[in-house]
Order: sequence, then structure tokens, then C-alpha cells
Amino acid sequence: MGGKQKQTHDDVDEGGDDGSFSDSELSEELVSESELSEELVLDDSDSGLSEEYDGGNDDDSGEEDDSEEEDDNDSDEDDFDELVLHDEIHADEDDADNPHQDDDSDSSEDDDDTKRNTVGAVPVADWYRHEDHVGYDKHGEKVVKEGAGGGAGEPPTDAIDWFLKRVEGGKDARSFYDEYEGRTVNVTPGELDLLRRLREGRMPSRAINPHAPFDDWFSRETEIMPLSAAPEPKRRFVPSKHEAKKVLKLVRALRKGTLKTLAQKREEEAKAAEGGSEPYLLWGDDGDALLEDGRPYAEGLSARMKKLSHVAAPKQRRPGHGQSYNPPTEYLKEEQEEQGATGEDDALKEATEKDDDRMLAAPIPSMRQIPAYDKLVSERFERCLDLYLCPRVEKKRINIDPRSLLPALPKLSDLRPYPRLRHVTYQRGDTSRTAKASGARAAAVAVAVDPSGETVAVGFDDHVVAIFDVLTSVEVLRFSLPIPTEDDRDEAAVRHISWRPAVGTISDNSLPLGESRAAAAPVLAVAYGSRVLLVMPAVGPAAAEAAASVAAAASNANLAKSSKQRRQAGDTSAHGPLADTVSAVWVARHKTRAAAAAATEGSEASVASWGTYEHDRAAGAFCTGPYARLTGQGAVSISLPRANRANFVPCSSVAWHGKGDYFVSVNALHNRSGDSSAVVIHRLSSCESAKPFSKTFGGLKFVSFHPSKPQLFLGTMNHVRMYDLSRRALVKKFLSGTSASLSLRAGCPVHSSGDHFLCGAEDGTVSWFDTDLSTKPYKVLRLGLSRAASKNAAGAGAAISALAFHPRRPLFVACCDDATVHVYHGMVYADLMSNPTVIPLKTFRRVHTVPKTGEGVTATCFHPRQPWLFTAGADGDVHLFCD
Amino acid sequence: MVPDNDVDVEVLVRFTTRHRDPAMHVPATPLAVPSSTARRGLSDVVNALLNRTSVPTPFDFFIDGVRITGPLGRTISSLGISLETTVTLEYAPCIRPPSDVTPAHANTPASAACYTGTLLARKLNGEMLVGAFDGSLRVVTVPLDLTDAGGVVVSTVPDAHAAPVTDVCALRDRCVSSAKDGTVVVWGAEMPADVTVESLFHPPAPLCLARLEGAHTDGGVEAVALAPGGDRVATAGADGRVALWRVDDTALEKAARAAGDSKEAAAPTRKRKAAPSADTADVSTLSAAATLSGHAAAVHGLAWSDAGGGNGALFSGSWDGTVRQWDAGAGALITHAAVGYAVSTASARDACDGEVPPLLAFGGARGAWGIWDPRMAPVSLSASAPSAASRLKTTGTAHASWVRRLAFQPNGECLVASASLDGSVCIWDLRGLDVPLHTLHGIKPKSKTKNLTKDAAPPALGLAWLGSEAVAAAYANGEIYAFPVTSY
Repeated sequence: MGGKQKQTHDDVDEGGDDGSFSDSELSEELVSESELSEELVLDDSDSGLSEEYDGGNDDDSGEEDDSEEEDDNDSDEDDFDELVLHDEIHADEDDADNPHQDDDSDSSEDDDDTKRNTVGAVPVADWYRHEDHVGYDKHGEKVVKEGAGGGAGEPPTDAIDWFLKRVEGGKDARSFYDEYEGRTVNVTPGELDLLRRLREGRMPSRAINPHAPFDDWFSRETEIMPLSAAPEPKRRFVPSKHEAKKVLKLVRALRKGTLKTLAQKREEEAKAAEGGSEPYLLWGDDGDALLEDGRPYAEGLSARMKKLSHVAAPKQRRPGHGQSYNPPTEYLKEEQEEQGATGEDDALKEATEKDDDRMLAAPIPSMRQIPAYDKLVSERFERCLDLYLCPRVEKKRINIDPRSLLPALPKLSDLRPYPRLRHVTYQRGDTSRTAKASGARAAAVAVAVDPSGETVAVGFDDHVVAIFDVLTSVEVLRFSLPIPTEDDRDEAAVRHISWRPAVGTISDNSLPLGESRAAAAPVLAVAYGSRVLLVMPAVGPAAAEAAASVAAAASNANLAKSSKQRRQAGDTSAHGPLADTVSAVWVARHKTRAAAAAATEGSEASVASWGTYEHDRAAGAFCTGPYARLTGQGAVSISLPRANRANFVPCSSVAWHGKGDYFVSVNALHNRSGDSSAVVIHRLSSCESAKPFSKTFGGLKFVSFHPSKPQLFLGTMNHVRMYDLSRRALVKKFLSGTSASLSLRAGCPVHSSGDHFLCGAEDGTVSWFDTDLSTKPYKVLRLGLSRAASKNAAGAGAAISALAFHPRRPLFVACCDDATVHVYHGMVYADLMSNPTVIPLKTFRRVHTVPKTGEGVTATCFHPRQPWLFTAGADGDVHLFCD
Repeated sequence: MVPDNDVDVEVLVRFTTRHRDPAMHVPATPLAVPSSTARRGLSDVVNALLNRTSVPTPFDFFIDGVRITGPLGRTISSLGISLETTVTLEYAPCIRPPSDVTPAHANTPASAACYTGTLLARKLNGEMLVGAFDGSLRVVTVPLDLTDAGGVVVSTVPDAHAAPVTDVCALRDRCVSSAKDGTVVVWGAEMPADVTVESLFHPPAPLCLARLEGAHTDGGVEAVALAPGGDRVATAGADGRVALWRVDDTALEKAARAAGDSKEAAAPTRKRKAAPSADTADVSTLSAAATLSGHAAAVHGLAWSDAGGGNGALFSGSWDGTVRQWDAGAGALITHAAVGYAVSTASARDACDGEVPPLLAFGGARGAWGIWDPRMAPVSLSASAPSAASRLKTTGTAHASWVRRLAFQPNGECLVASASLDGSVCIWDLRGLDVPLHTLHGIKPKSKTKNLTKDAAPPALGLAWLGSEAVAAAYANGEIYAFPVTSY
């Protein structure tokens, strides 16, 4: 027992050594106690007592020692009271769990059962003085005085013996006679100690030390070596998630309304006290209800509330006695009540109807006599109707205005100015006469506005190029090209005309100033027959300026020779002397260079040959019109190479580079590839020509230079190719967006930004290509769909005949073969992020219609500055559309 | 409450007029007139008031800038005026319709299609200075008392310019002509009191006083205007600039002396070959006194009137869609207004004797033309166009094509003539700009439709008032017609 206690003590010690100080406070205290052994003895009842008396230091003694000591103690006690000792041993065994129990109390407890006096508070000494007993125990047997019965432990009747016993010491020294119980009681040393401590006013138990020294384990001082060197844990600095969850729960509850603040509760109570609750829309969550300010009611509701609300049916009262088929008589309708109900008194009727408990007028004696429910059929029918008409499932329906899906278009008035009305018509002076004579007019096939915007050049299919004054609509100049006699005449028509872009001077430093200024004069390139004709309708300031400077710098022998030649040639018409000189300088310069080039290159006749244009006088005057006497008569002719003499190759298109020095000519060799001479690039300042491609594709439809870079766009039937001329490489090939071929019909010069161009197809679609974006079209516009054409499934519209970008404004135009002209707003942004904007603006119908053939617009172009659109048509007119 | 037009109510009407003859004025007493009365009935009333019942005069009536064409009540109610107030009607004698009179006619060679035309300020019988596409100048008389083919080309300067003559302007003894090659020539003559116009151009040789050079280098000169005093010239070029030149006698003399010195000093370099027929090496050259820049595109309209006092009012109209008024003395912009379309002609009202505020008529790339009174709230350069356009009066579209020329009646009255590319000439009254008074056709279009493509008349490119009672129009095919514009 003591061993066990020690073991636990050891455990405790070890625990203390481990440093777990949480619950080992008491044991630590015990360990540190100086009276450790004594305390332990006290804990261990009588064994402790012997230890104390033996001065035993039994810390190291084992279990056996303890048991021996116990035996010793027992033997000591046997001397006086075997019975008690026996009982005590038993008690010890029984109360092993209770080490603080005293021996004495144990013995008295044993007496309680058998020998304890139960007479109560009576003067025992007086009453039982002469008896041998002192009273009765609970069994009614006498409690015999010690000594009376003469048993083993007879009381010392003799006072002297008693005194001597006590004086002798030993156990008897601490014994006294208990009159009430009639026996001698030994006082144990433990009890004696307790009594002594009580008398001294000390703590009765030795185990408790009220004045234990206070050990200040924890102090507010910051220790150098604290008890725990663990760093401050992270949780001290991190907000508690647990608390956050709790708070969130509360917040949600507050939002949901399940939890209410005190103020809300009071408010509701106040409202309830006022009477009635706030009115609310019962069906407000079905999506159609609107608030007063027009917002949907459901907008402010929570997601849960937005669902179709479940309106619980009102709770019905439980059937009472009145619903019984055989109610008690007090629930039956009485006779007079029934009469009152049938009578006039409505209030009474309502009152009786409300009273559910009084339903029947007469009880039904048995259950089998209950009639069928008379409203069953009608109620079932109405329920079916309800189910049929009232959907039980909320249908998610999205109401989207289809107009809101369309992109927001600006107002057309914001996009002004753009061509809206046809205002001016440019007609050849002889048109009406021709029309009367032959019944047909020459069709205008090409139109171009000069860079200054003052004149517009028009090419006709009867070998005439006319130049009109834009402002006055007067034909100021006409170049009549002779009809070639050899080859086929049809192919010799004017195909295309193009003005050289406005340039200050060509960067040709070898030229004297005057010549470079002359070179800056306006030049019109005419694709005519198998050659390109460069005419210089030099009217106005450029010509005058050039002429003045040329006259000043004129020391060129070629000039004199050439003008002499021209004079000798019988050119007696009233030439403006200055303009003629300019033209002569021009022609002479180009002629000499062309001759020089021919001399050096020798027999290489494959590249185009340059030369002056020798007009056939028999065919009439080359240049006529009001400006004729002010301008030159000469022209430079570039004969394009022919692959085959038998096969006439007309030049179909001419395009200038943006710097005005280079231009490219393309012949319209249909459906034949492999010819190297289809594309020829010419350089004006050096009178040279070159074939950039060793092999080209047949059926070239359009050609255009990049406005600033050395790039060339070639459009064939199926695709458009972009070449880098400096690297001599194909850069990109643009295809149609669909699997079908592009079926290119018309292209337009590349946009001034250089990154965009248009392609018009035979089926009436216009493809907008962004060269930076993709080889597929950025946008495809389906034009030319007349109403009849759009009805059939194929949907092929009239072919696109002409396309043009405005050089400065965000406008482009597409002309169809069905005599319609579509004007579009096409804004191109400088940043790479935003896509071009394309907005249809205006459609002109029945433009240039020719009654028999039905042909319409053949060519179009924009004014370089104004938002004016020029269209040339098969009826021989040129229209100007302006804002 | 606007009563129904059919209900005949009486309107209190007060008649006023600006007629110069006091005999044509009626007392200002308001009269009650039935609202169904039309122009004829009103004319009868006025004639009765004037005691001219024996020879009644037809009148035109104007109210708030609208000419009365139908019943009086309808016009008044369409204007939103209450019929219960006293309405002030302005009346003026009618202009004789063109069917009454035959236009006089003159022919110039077809090769020299008229580009422009102006009145020579002589008290002769209808003389017109015409500039042509081939650079020649002609003086043409169009006698109004003769019928067809009565016109005579009095004199010709064949090589006045080396480029088409774009504009001519004449004032007293000075004429100015401009051409597409950027040259401006000042013509003149020492003018005895009895000299005729022949002495100006024909024998003796045409007197080229000076050439104005150096201001417009990037394009031709599109319009010229002479200052009211005749001592200055404004030119407008395709480069968007307006140049001012001093051409009074002292400046010309100084320039002539300088030219003579240079001729003596240096050998003749024959620098300018594009000179008139005579030896022009000694023609003095003037340089611009000031250059007014601000227009963003070619300036095609220029007008300089003596209204407003001081230097007069100098206006310009450009293809950039603005009209501007310039301070000719300081060489600065006074105010401007955005028109919304390219302006290709301008004309300003003259102040005849009276104090008339300056008023500009402009027209261009539309069939409509407009009136601008710069006194209205001045517009700063940063102001947006719509606010400025709101104070521009724009007429209806009577012309099917662009308006090429505009001309105010020179006596400062209310008539404006406009010539269009569709060959028609319209007479307008400033008091009622919604409908033209008359549309005049020198060369009748074959069909009455506005279809431009078929057989349109040649465009009318020159326009001038011959006095205040006739308008002459020069057509692109070289024909010149003069239409009498007389009132009853």
C-alpha cells in the first residue's frame, strides 16, 4: 500500500522532471516538503505512525519492508485489544482507498454495529452506577461495563492500578475510561497530534501547509531565460477562423432576418403594437411586378426570395365535435338558429357559418348512413383546373430585347458628311450628238480625280480621255487616242487611268531644279491598248511654275531639238508656248533616256520600251477643248512587252506608288499563267521598266502598291498576294473566308493606312482584308443582293464592279453591276487594339442605267479632300454625289 | 387658338413698304381684311388705298420672311401668329415674270467658254466683262432693247492669262482678273469722262497696270474682289489663303518705277512668258500687302462690300465649309461660321447711301444657298458647327445642282440672283427666302424633270447685274443671256 503510494510519488516525480507543470503543482509541493516522510506516514494511517516512532527512513525500502512493519504494528496492538486490532486490520483492508481514516473511528464504527450504547443522553453514571452494564445496544443487548463481566479486558476497578498503569506509560498512559460506553479508550498518537495541533491553533492536518513559501513561477518581468523559449505562436497574430465563422454565421442570420438586433426587435414590437404589419407584394417575386419607380420588384430580393414563393395554405382547424357525423346535441343547429340563418339577418348567418362546430342540423345515427360528399365532383374538377392552369415548376425565362444584342450604331447624322445626293453630272460635250446619231453613247470606263481635286479625268471606251473641271462641270480637255488599225480594235480601248500622286519633287538629284519641278507636274497614266500613255494635262499653277523655271534653266540641246522637231512637224495649232515647252522638255527627256536605255540594253526587247507618243494626225487632233491651247500636245508612250505577237495583250490596270516615281502596269491576260510580262514596274525618273516576276498568275484583276512600303498587291481570281519588292518574296496570300474561291472581280487601291484593302467578288460580296490581322477577310459584306436575288437560296447578287476608299475620310464605296452604289463608313483606327468600324450609310439605286444592256457603274473614286463621290457609268456620264 | 382656315375671319393688317417713291406708301392705319384674301385681293386693297385702281399694280406681300402665296390666314397661322393681333405686311411691286420679257442674247466663240463674268461699271447699255477658259477676256454688250442675237463682243484680250480666267471684278476704272495659274492682273485706263469702254481694251492696247504675284503659289487664284474704294484688291487661292494687295495710284507708280529700273539695269530675261500679247516685260509686279490664312481648303468665294463703314466688309467662303469675315485693315479674322458644305461662291450686299449692315450670301456644293449676318452672336473658332449653323438662313432647294454664282442687286435692295450648274438662274427676295420669285432659263432644258443626265442645259458660270434692272448670265457654251428684272 505504502509502496503503491510511493510508486505514484515516483511517477509524480518523474512527471515533474518532465516539466509538465500543469497539474503537478501539489506533488511538486510534496516533493519539496522537508517533512516528506512524515507526511507520507500520515497519509498511510497507522503504518505511518510506526514509521514516525521508529524514526524510519523508508524512502528506499521495498514492499516487503512495509509489510513487516505493518506486522510489527499489529503485534504491538495485539497486546491491548485483539479484537479492535482485528477489526482495524479488516477496516484497513476494506478502506484501502481511504488512507486518512483513523483507527479509532474504525473501531467505533465496528461498535456501532454491535456494541454501541443506544440509551441516549441519560445520566449513565447515575442510572447504571450499580449495574454491570451501562445501557443497551441496538439489538437490545446489554452493553457490559469493562470489568463487570470479568472478560479479557477488565477495567481497572482499582483506582490505584489505573493510576499506576497510566504512570507506567505505554499505551495506557494515553487511555481513558468512557463512562457512556463503559470501556477504556486508547488515544492514538495521531489523534493526540491532531488534538495538540488543534489546541495550538494550527492546521489540523499536517498535509496542509498554509505557509508554504510562494514560488513566483510567473512574473511580469521579462526573463532572460523564460520558462518556455518557444516563440510566440502564429495563432496569436492570425485572426481566428473559428471566430470568423461564428461572426459570419451571425451576420448571415442578421441578413437573412432570422436573427434580429435589439433595435429591430423593438421596432417590430412597436409595429405590432401599432397594429398590422408592413404591406408587401404577395406575387412580387414572379418577375413582372414593378416598384413605383419602375424597377422590378424582384431586384431587391435575395436569391432565395427571388424563387417562386411558396405560400402555405392556411392551417385548417382540427375537426371538432361539430364535424362529427353524430355530434352531441349542443353542437347541433337549433331550430330557431336555422330559421334565422334562412332569414334576413346576415350578421347572424355569418356568425353561424363561422361557427364550424355547428354543422349538422340533425345527427346521423350510424356511419353507414353518412351521405356522399355533395361537392366532391365540383371540387375535384376545380382542382384539376388549377393544376392544369398553374405550373408547379418555375420556368426560367430570359427576356432579352433582341435589339439590345445588336451593336450600338452611331446616328447617321453623326457620321456626316458623306455622299447623300447626286448633284453634278459631267457630260462630254459631244455626247448628246453622238447619242442622237448612233443611238449609243460611249461608256465611261475609268474615272480619277487629280490630287489637287480640281479636275477629274474620265476614260471612255471610244478611245477618249476627257478631263472635266470639278467646280464647273465643263469638259476642259479631251485626248482623242487613235484607234489602232492593226490588231483587234476592241482590245485597244482605254481600260484604266490613274493620276500620279501629289509629290513635291521626285528625289532625283541628278535633275536640275527646273526639270524636277516639271517632273512634279500632274501626270495621268492611261492604260490604253498594249501600252501605257503618260499625258501631262498641265493646266494651272504647276504647269506655269514648271514652265517658268524650265524656261529659266533651259539650256538643254534636246529641248531645242525637240521643239524644233515639233515645229517642223507642222504643229500649227495655237499652242500655248510655255506649256508646249514644258511638254517638250518632258517628252525630250524621256525620249533621250529611252533611247539611251534601248542602246544599252540592246536586243533585250522583253521589257517595255519607252518613247514619245507620235500622234496620227490623220486621226484628228490629239488634244482638244478649252484648255487645249494652254496645255501640251505631247505624251510619253510605254509599249508593254508581248508574249506573243498573235496574242494581243491589252493593259488593264495602272497603279502608282505613293511617292509618285514608280508605277505598275498589269495586262489582262485571262486565265493564262506562266507569262512573265504580265506585271511590269516602271520608274518614271529614270525611264526604266522591269519585270519583277519570272512567272505570274493569269487573270490578274487588280494591282496596287502599298502607299508607303515597297509592297505590291496582286489580285487574281482566287486570291490576293502581297509581295515584298525589296526582298523579292511573297509575304502573304489572302484567301476567301469560305472554302469557295474568292472569285475576285474588283479590287481597290490599298487604304491610306496601308493595312486594309477591299475585294469585290462576282457573287456580290465585298471582303475587307486587314493585312495585319489574318489572311482571311476581317469582314464580308454581302452587297448586290437585289430583292429577287435574295429570294433564291443561292443568294448570288450582282457582281461588284468597282471599289474605292476615301483617301482622308472614313468612307468607302462599292458599286454593283445592278446599278447600285453603296456608301459605307469605314473607320480605321491607328491602334492595333480596335477593329475597323464598318457602317452602311447610303445606297444609290439605278445609277447610270443603260436601258438595253442594264449595265451600271463601271468605275468610282473619291475626291481627295471633300466627301464627294464620283461614279462613271456605262451611259457615258460621270456623277458627283455630295453631302 | 388657330381658327380653321376655311372659316373666314377678319385679320387686322397694317401695310408697310420700303418703296422709294412716296406715292407708293399707304397710311399705316390697320385694316380689317378677310383671312381668305390671297395676294390678288391684298393687291386690290393696296391699289385702292393708293388710288391706282385704273392701272392696278400687282404686289408681293411678305410677313416675317415669308412670301404670301396662298390665303393670308393660312400663311399667318402656319407662322404661328395669332389672327387677333395686328399683322404687319410688307408689300412691294411684283417682278415681271420671265414669260413677259425676252432675254437678250449674245454669243462668244464656243471654244472660249465663259468661265466668269462681271459688270463693267459703265453707264452704258449692259456691258459685261467675261473671262474664258482659254485665258481670254472679252467685253460684251447685251443691249436690253434688242431681241435675240443682239449682243456684240466689243473687245477681246486673247491672252490675258495663260490659264483659265477664274474670276473678274470691276469697279470704276479698275478691273481685276485672276487665273488658275495663280496670276492676278489689274487692268485700267486713264479715263477721260467721255471715254467709252472700247478705249479700255480695244484701241488703244489694253492697259495692264500691274501683275500681282507671289501670294498663291500652291494653286490657282479662284476669286478676286476689289475694295469699295478701288484702292485694294483681295484675292483668294486654292491654297486656302486670302491675300490683300494695295493697288492705289501711288503703289502702282512706285511699282512701275521699280520695274523700269530693273529693266534698265538687267538684260531682259524673259522670265514671264505667260504674259498678254503686248510686250509685258515692263509690267510692274506688286507683292501682297497681307496674307490672311485660316481656311483649311481652297477659297472659292470672296466678297467685299462697302457696308458697315470703314474698310467695308470682306468675306470669304471656302471648300472647308466655313465663311469668314476679315478685318481688311488689320488683316485679322473677325468672325466665322460653319456652313456644313463646301462654299464655292459668295456675294455681299452693297450699302447704297444708307447704313446697311453687311450681309453675305454664300452658296456651293448644294442646291441651296444661305445668308449670313455676322452681327449675330460672334462665334469663337472653337465653337462647334451646329450652333453656328443655326443662325445661317438657308433657302430651299430651287436648283437641282450646285450654286455657282450669287449676286446681290447692286442698289442695296432685297433681290439676289443665283446661277447654278443646271443652267437655271433664280431671282430671290430676301424678305421671303423660301421660294424664288422667278426661275430664269436662258437655254431651256429639254425636259422639265430634274434629271440631270438627259440633255441638261449647259451650266451658268457667270452672273452679273446689269444695273439694277437686269441680270446677265454667262453659260459654259459661250452664250450670254440678259434677263430684265423689272417690277411693275
